[in-house]
Amino acid sequence: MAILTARGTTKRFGGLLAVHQLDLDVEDKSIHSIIGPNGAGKTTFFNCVTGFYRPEEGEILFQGMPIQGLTPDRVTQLGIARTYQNIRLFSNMTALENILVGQHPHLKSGWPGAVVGTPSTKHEERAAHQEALRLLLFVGLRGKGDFLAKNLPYGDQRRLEIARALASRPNLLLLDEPTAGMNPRETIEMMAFIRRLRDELGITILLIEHQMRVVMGISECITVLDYGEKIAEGPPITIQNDARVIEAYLGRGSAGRAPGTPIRPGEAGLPEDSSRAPRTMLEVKEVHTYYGHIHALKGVSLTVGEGEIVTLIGANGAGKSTTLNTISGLLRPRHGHVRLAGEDLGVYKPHEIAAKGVVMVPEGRRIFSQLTVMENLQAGAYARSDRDGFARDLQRVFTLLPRLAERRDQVGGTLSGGEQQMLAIGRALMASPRLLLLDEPSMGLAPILVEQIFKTVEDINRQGTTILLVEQNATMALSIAHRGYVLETGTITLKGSAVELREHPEVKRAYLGEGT
Amino acid sequence: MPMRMDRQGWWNAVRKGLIWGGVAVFVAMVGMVETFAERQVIIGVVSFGMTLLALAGVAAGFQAARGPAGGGRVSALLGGAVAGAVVGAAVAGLLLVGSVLNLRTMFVSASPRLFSLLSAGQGLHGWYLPLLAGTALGMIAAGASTLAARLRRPILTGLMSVLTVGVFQELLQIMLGGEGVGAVIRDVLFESEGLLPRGALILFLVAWASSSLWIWRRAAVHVWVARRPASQQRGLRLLTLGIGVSALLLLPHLAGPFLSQVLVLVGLFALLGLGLNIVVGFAGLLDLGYVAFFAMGAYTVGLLTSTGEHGIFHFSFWTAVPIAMVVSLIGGVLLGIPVLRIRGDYLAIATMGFGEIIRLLVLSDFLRPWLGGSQGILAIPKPTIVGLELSGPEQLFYLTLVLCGLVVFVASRLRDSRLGRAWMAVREDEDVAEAMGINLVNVKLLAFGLGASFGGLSGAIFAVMVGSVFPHSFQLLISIKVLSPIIVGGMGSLPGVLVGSLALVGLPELLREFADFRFLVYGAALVAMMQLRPEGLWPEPVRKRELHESEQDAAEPEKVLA
Repeated sequence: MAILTARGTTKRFGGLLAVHQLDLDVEDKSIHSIIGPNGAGKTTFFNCVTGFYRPEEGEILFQGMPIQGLTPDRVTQLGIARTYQNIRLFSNMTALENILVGQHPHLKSGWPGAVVGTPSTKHEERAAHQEALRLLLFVGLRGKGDFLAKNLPYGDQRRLEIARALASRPNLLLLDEPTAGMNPRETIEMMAFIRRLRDELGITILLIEHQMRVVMGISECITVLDYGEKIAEGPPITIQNDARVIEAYLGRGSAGRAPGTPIRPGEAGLPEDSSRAPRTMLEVKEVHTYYGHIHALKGVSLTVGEGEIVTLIGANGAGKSTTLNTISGLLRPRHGHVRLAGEDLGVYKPHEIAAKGVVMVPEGRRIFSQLTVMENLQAGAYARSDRDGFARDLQRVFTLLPRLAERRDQVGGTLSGGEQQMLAIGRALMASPRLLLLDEPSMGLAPILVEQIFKTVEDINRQGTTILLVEQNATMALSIAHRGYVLETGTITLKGSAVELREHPEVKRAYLGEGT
Repeated sequence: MPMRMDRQGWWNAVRKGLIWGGVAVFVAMVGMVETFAERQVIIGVVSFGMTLLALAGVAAGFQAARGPAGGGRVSALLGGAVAGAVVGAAVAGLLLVGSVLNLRTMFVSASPRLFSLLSAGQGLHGWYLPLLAGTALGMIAAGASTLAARLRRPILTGLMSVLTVGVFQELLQIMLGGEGVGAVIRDVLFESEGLLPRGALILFLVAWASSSLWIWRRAAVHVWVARRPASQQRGLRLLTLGIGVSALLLLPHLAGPFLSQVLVLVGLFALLGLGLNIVVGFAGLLDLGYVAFFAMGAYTVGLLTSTGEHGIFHFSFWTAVPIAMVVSLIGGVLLGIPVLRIRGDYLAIATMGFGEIIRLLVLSDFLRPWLGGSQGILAIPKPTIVGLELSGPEQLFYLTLVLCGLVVFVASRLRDSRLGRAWMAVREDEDVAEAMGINLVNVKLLAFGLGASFGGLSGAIFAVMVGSVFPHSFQLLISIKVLSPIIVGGMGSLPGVLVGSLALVGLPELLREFADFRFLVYGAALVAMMQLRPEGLWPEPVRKRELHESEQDAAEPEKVLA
């Protein structure tokens, strides 16, 4: 029996059909995935189900009852809970309080009772605390109840968000990219956890996910969306071999390609000959960076040679983004030096470092969402005054990223995730960088787009820009990089050429997801 | 350790000096130095005005020594001297310019007297004096900053005690009274005009000694308490609480009517702040029209109890108060309905408009027959308890104290309830809160309504305290005066509201010369808080926990492994 049924659901944004005539049935107690390219309308559909958007046409039934047009709080009370693509915890509340808020619909006591302190209120509060502690335990956050949500590590935040959703005792749980930004080890744990939710708690799971390992590994049914329409549906094996899905989403080759195989071996900008070392462009030496009392980088040293692509891989919270932020001057190291072509960057402010040619593409893209594509690119060139150079670089960006040329007058916020990533890279290129710092460029992107982005990165490098790449997708990163470093809890634990790292057993196990 | 300062260290010292030099010149040019020259901290030695200038030099020296340069004690002293000298140079520059040109055409406060003060009466020939003083102060401050905390703290405590007692000598002398032990203490410390140098020295030594003693024995005391059995510990806690409460209860008798009057005002703003804190601090809805509910409460009580021409029912105060609260509550809900969908800055502007609407309505000719227009409502009788009239400030102090206690209790219970959590969720992320099953309409209207009812309660007290209500008492500035203590005390923190009210409402009342500079000081306090301590003077426990947590975090991995 279907627990959730959508019939002809349509949602428009202006002229754009975000979801078009979608029919969908989610079987009770199943794990059902929705996949599709960025901008295919997956999250929009979630928002229609949970009451954030009101679909213009069609019907959504939950346990046989129409729910389209209900407010989010009513939908939750009926038994649908969700998590968010970019984690949205109540960040200044403790983990326990987050879960208690999740229980809101099931608590009955009113404020007068709380002021007077009636026995029933006290009893209910005690029971709610017990329940919250139980949920903390269930998601593996024992003893972390008093932590502020924002201080929890990334993986724990994902778990807490699920715990908060579970607190409303849902029958249907919508998970929006639960493994985004997780490394293979964490991803495998999350998959097992999602199975437990269904098997032990009997909750139906509807899942948006880009990692094919996850989707193919746990789903009983997969629906593929493209441009807001369903293009395929069925069990994993059917989807994997569907020609339309491969063309629109998976990309040629990527579905079957073994992890660790380079896309185009030996085709990178420099010969993979480590004996002819290039001139050092960036030198990070014994850098220690702190967040308050937290010692985030514990003596990180690395070098990036002129014309190289160097990648920095490691688990969440290892300090990869901290390293990039230290290089770009957003964070100040307490000890150690960052040198660009021999010059100490420690005395410069972030904008001065950018003007020296060290430009960052931040994690999560961070484009100016109210500005058009063109204005975003102009903002990237803010610090320069050479008209010719500007025109030349604009031409270069449009050649490298033709999609941006097509959309030059579109407002940034309405671009799909992949286009936003391209725009973020284009914006950085407009500053004509000598050294480009890329922070997780493939995060949250469909496989076909990931390949495109990495190809662009290679092209940029071939045109002479040095690149330092931080990436969760170690397979892809090592396939285009010349050299790499592995960062663990603020320390470099391994370094070597990309080929050496790909073959290293420890890297294979922890970051390439081979063997367990 | 390098004994020489590098380029960065010099630049840092100069920059700190320039910032504080700017502050010093500003303080002089707005007239604070001259106004406060009358108020002697130590009689014949130093005035409060000069202390303000001196503090700029001290702050510059302290910050320069604490700067990123690091290095040894010598470079710290050098940096402090440079920063202090720059402050002194700024003041000296002002002195030179002011003596040569007539600045008074533009700056009213640039009077000859100011320049005479700046040069210790020497005029242009004393130009080097600020420079010397600045250098010396900067160096002393830098020296103090390199001392260990256990040595520095007592000195600081001693100086602060002298400053406080000196500034408030008038009040303290009255409190000490004319006979007995008090009079003896007074004669040792004070002269009729202010604190004697001898008194200052005694005060400093006493404060220094007790602070040192406390720092030295603090750990031992804590250990001693911790070793007591639980029942005795509870007893000790009760004892401290009892001492605190009885001190509060005795306060009006010790302090006299003037100080009681100030305390009533502090209590009034604390009450208002506690109410607004529910809306702004708990639920995160920035309400700049809060004064409207204050007015509603005051006018309701006025109309219901007044014996004058506008009084309707001649109810007793105690009957009128609940009605006033209900009226304000309804007003709060009515304001809430149209602004339910408005967020952030827009909400602030919309509510600000609401506040003005209420004031203009009261002022209007249309409502004049009932509300008295600009003439207001007069002859509001004082409340009575079992035949006893609460007429003087001392009695009203008890009334506000009890109500403050009650409201703190209610607010803390609300904060820890299901509703309180829902408010905080709305504050953090409205969309997600709604997706957690929280009915935004109910929760927001409850915040507006309950907050407003506390505002009405304060209005009721205001009406009986003054004995009359006028529209001009309910201007936009009141809303800002209520909001500032919340921000300074710490958003969402209950003790923070009380501390903030004491600091921002109480202190300016005590320093009457401050009246002209009140909003200048408010602005400066807000900017300083945002820069130095954004969580507030007394942040709510969760925010404090966050600071402890960063220490915990480091220890966490081992705990997990173990």
